[in-house]
This record gives sequence, C-alpha cells and structure tokens, in this order.
Amino acid sequence: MPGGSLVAQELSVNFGSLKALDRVSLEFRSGEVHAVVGENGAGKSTLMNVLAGFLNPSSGQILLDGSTITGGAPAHRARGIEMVHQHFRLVPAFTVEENLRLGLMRSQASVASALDLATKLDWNISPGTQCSELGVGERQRIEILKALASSPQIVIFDEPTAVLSESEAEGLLDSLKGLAARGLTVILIAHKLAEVFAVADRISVLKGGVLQGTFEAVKTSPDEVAHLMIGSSLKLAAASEVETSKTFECRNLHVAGGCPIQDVSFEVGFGEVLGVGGVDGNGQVELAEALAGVRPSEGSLTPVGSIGYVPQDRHVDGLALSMSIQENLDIADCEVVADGAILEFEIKAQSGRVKTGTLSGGNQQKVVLARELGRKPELLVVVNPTRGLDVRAAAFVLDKIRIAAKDGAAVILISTDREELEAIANRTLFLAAGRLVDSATEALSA
Amino acid sequence: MKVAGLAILGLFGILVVGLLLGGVPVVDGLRLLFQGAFGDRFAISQSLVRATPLLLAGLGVAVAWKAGVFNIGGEGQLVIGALAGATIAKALHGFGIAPLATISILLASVVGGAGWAAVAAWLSIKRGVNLVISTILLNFIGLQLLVYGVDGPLRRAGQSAPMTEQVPDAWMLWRPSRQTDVHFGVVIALLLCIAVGYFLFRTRKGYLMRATGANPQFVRANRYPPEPIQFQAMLISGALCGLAGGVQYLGINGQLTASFSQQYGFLAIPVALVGGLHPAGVAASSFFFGALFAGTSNLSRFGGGGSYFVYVVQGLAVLGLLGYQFLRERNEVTNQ
Repeated sequence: MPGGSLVAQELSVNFGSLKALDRVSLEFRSGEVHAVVGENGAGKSTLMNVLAGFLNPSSGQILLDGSTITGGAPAHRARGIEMVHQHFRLVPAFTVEENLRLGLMRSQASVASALDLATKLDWNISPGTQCSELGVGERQRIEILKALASSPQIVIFDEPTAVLSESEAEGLLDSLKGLAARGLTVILIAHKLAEVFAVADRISVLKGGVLQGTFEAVKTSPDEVAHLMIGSSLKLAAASEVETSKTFECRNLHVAGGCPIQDVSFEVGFGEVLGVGGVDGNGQVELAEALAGVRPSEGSLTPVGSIGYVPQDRHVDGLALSMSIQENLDIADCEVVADGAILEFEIKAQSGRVKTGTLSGGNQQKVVLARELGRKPELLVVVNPTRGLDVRAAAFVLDKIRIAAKDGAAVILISTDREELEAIANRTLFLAAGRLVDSATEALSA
Repeated sequence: MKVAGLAILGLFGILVVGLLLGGVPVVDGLRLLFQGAFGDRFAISQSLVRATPLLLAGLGVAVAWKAGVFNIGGEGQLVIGALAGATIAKALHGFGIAPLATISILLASVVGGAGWAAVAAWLSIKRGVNLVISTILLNFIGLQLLVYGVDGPLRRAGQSAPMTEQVPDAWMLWRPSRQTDVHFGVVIALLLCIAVGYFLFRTRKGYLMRATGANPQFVRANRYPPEPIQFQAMLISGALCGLAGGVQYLGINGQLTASFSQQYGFLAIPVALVGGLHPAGVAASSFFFGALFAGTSNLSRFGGGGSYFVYVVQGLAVLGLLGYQFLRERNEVTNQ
C-alpha cells in the first residue's frame, strides 16, 4: 500500500451566495494522520466531499502525486482515494462476508483480500456473522475494510468516533496510526480535540470555509486550535444582565438517549434568553425534549404553567405537513386563529386552509412559532430556530423569540449557529457529550 | 369529495373493463347490472341492504386508517361482533324482552368487535407486534371461532347442519315493509356515518386522531403520546366493524352459520380507500359496492359474469386508486 501526496489547490465551493470553501490550499502527505477540524458549518464535510469526488469545486483543483484528478467519485476511487462514511452503509440482515461482497462489487478487490487485511490488522472478524449482531465498533471495521480492500493510497474518515464508545474510539485511533505507519495517508475529520491530539501528526483548522492554518500537532496545543476554530468568543448583543428575581431551575437532569444528558444543572431567569451552544449530537435533542416534557427525564425542573417548544426539524415533528395551517395551530388547544397568525407573523399564505407542506421553510417555521407563542409560554425551548431560513425570515423569527423573553418567558435557545446565539442570547453555556460547560473551548476539549 | 367523485367515475370505467374481460356484451351487462341494483323497489332495497355492513365496517376501517393504524382486521372484528351478539341472544333465549334484547345484542357486537381490535392494538403498543400482520391473523382466528361457535356451544340442537338458534322475529331489526329486506340497520349506519364525520372533524379527540395519522411525531412533540390515541382509534374501529356484524345478524340472517360472513370485513378496506377515508366518501363508495353486489347477483342469474365479478371490480378499483395516488404524488414531487 504505497501512500500518495494529495494537494488541494485554491479550492472554492459556492452554494449560491454562500462560500462553503474559500480558496483552501492544503497538502496531505503520505504516512501521516492529518486531522481537519472546525465547528459545524466550517466546511469540513464540503472539503471531504470534494476530495472524495462527490462534489465538484467551483474553482481550484486537486492533485495526486503531481497530476490533477477530474471526473467525479469513480475517478477519485480509481486513483486510490477512499472514504469511510460516518453513517454505515451495511445491510443488517447480511453476514460480514455478504456485506463485503456487496461493498466490493464494483471494485477490483476480493472479499478474501479484505478478510486477509482484517487478520493483518489483528481484527477478529468472523465472516459468517450477521451484521445486525455486531457492535457499532465492529460494524465500523467492516466499513473500513470495504475502503481498504482496494489498496487505496488515501483514506478519509468522516467523524469516525462520533458513534463509538470510549474504548472503541481508542481502538479505532490506534488503527488509524497503524494505517499511517504502513504508508497510507489518513485524513480524519473530527471536532473532539482530545482525540485529534492523541492521533494526528498535523492539524488543519477550518473556520467559515477559510483555512486558518496547518500545524504540527506537537508544536501547538488544544487551546490554540480551539481558539482558531471558534475565533473570538461569542459577542453577545444582549449580554446585559436581565433583572429578574424568579428563575426557572433545572437540577441534576439525567436524560436517556443517543447522547445521554448527565447531571445537567442550570437556571434561567424569566425574561432571559439562555443560549446553549455546542456541536450537533452532544445531547441537544435529548435536553430539548426533556425540558419540553416530550421525553422522560430524572432530576428536578421548576414547574411552569405552559411550555412552548420549537423542535429542531419542522418537517419531522414541528408540523403535520399534510394538514392545514389552522390544523397545525389547533394542536396547542389555545384558540390561535390562522388568519390572525398569518397577519401577525407575516406568513405568506392565502388562508388558514393552506396545507403547511406547500409553504416555504420560513413560513413553515413561522407557523410553528405562532403556535408555540400562542401558548403564552412561561418556558420556551427553541432548537436551531433559523436553520434553513433566509436572512429576513431568520431575523423575524429571532425577534419574536426576543419579544417572548421580554414578555417574561424563560427562553432556552439550543443552537449550533453562533449567529443565532450572538443575536439574542443574554448568556451562553455549551453542551459537550451530554454535559454543560461554560465555554466553547472547554466544550471542544472535553 | 372531489376524489370520491373521481373515484366513482373511474369505477364506472373499471366496470366496463371488467365486463369486457368477462366476455359479457358491455351494453347488456351494464343493463343487467343496473336492473339488479336499481331496477325496482326490491333491487334498490338489495343495494341498500348490501351497502349497510360495508358502510359500517368501512367507517371503522376509515377511522383507524385516518389515525395511522392500518387495521386489516375488519373481517375478524365483524365476525367476533356477530358471535358476541349470538352469545347474548342465546343467554337471553326464552325470557328476553324485544327492544332490550335487540339493544343488548347490538351492544354485545360492539363490545366484541372493539375487544377483538383491542387485542391487536395491545400487542402492537405493548409488544411491538406489527398491527397489519396481527389483524390479518386475528381474522383467521375469528373465522375459526365462528366455526367453533356454531358447531359447538351455540349450535342449535336437533339440526343436521351446524347453525345457531333462530333469533325470535320480535328481536330482529324493524323492517318498514314485508316485501323488501330493508331494515333499521340502514338508518343506524347512516346515523353513525354522520356521527363519525362529526367526531373526526368537529371534536378534539377526532382531531388528535387525524393529526396522529398525519404525523405521529408532530403529535408527540406537542405532548400527546400517540399510542393511547391510536389505541382509542382501534377501539372505535373495532366497535364499528363489530356492529356491522351485529346489524347483519339482526337485520338479515337471524342466525349464524359458518358461512355467515360474506367478506364484508375485507371489502370494507377498498370501500374505505375508494371513499378517500372520508365518511361521506365511504357512504358513497359503500353504496356503489352494495349496488354492485345486488347487480352482480342479477348478472349471474342471467348467465355470464358470475358472482366473482364484484371481487374483480374491487381489485381493479383498488389497483386503479393506488395507481392514481402514485401518479398524483409523483406530479406533486415534479412540480416542486
């Protein structure tokens, strides 16, 4: 397995007016573990998709050992660039061997060579086991074998530890080092700095689509990298203390789930907006649903008369898309009339009988907001409220949330978008692996 | 309603295709069908009487499906409803007083159907058993319980064929005329059709059921656990299907045999689907299929066709409907 040197030259990717990548130039050397770090939306995934050929750059080029690669993912694979996806692409009802055969159908590599490789890596995998009976770590190994079987020069790992337990993650990181030692170029996307520093030779930091620099791991520190990732600490427009005597208290909250919430305590004044930042998948959904009373939890929460809850995804649980605006308001059972909401929230719809599925994202979010604010909530839990909205709709939605706080609601804004937090939070905490910490840097090092 | 109108129009086309497939001259075939369904008072009464259990069970199916619960067990619930009614009839034999006995028997069929549906709903919610499969299988268990009932504990003594005791005439549902089969069950079905419409579209519980069917996650995020709502929908669904059995028992048969069921519980599913899961639509489609039943028996009496004609048309209708929905959804996607 000879390694290759992969060079990105002035890569830019534009999605409409958004610059997902802005003239990024980077070199990945053979035999190194090269970590690419950054916050949500920093451009990591875009960069990886360009490197693997899933996405064409708007400008710039990719060179492998000096010659350019063009022609999309098949061409990239033919040149020896493989990607291990974060979400497994395995058939649970198939055995290990069958999954390997399926995965390698379009490749020159044989199942036998993949199994050979497992032995060389000291991975104890029995080919006849059904995949549904394997643990997450073992399943990931199958994915890695699929990528390695064709003897690639470069392997890209997309947040591989996100789904693993601590000990599984350690095992994986060891394997990555082993692969690099055999001459492969290992590219690792990650945001847990402790892991990055445990395994990476070099670290590149992306922020807002711009490369902040590439560093030798031994010559930098998690603190320095975290600062580069986040930039200045949040500039809260509404950082002033809110004068309030009564607070909503959350004490020793435990919530089960994909990322369990462990012993979280905080308080929010009625009239205050508490921002909860952090990277996706660190317990956002679990915390929000527990506070909103949708998911069972242990611990004590100040009882409140009414709770408003704007869930993360208006298509999944925010709305019933096949029902009308009025019917989507009716579930709150507090007599919000659609015609009034259409006026007050500037929803672009002919009447309350229009199905919410036909509305634009911004108007859909306004329907959700109209319903939840119509409850006159004492506690308002809001998750990523402006995701996918245009600037005007986003400003409108944030304004409504701020007004709800002014009217005396305790608002908890759980968001992965720093602009949202900066715009309306009076104070912020950060979620890291199901716990709350005080700063974004702390969250990354946790 | 527009969908229902369109569906009826499509069904007419399917009728013609069905006749062509059956090798029946189209004009003659349609004439025979029409005469059998609407030709005289008797024909119309036959259409109404056939439509009645279809309407009741179709409403039952519609309520469950509206709530996102795909109850395929209408047949089992109908049969168990009738069986429960016959059990009460036997218990009251000899001393029951006319109107009270009738009401008791009908109530028993409601409870029986609801109970049978509750088994599947409970298995689904508490044990995660797929409700489509459990309701299908409970159909067979229900049908075999009917066979057991009429040949076992409910069997009429001294009769060579297994069947239950004939219900006293006074307990049967009231008939306005001795010349036709039309019975009070027609009125019950129509009243319940209005009641179900009111329930689904004018009450909070009905709204929650529709919302659960539209998106259970949406209902859950608004602090209404979907499971109890769907359980209640299954109870209502089973109750209506059970009542369909009870009404058929007290309206037409007066006694149960192993072949009591005319597959009304199965046919209720296409009836509900063609009716767009809307009570008014279900009323229209059940009348159409009821008329088709009546018309077909005429068709088979005059040769050609045969009584399987109904099932062919039912099958074609559902396939046509699914195809129509597929095309519409695809259009919506391409228009976006």
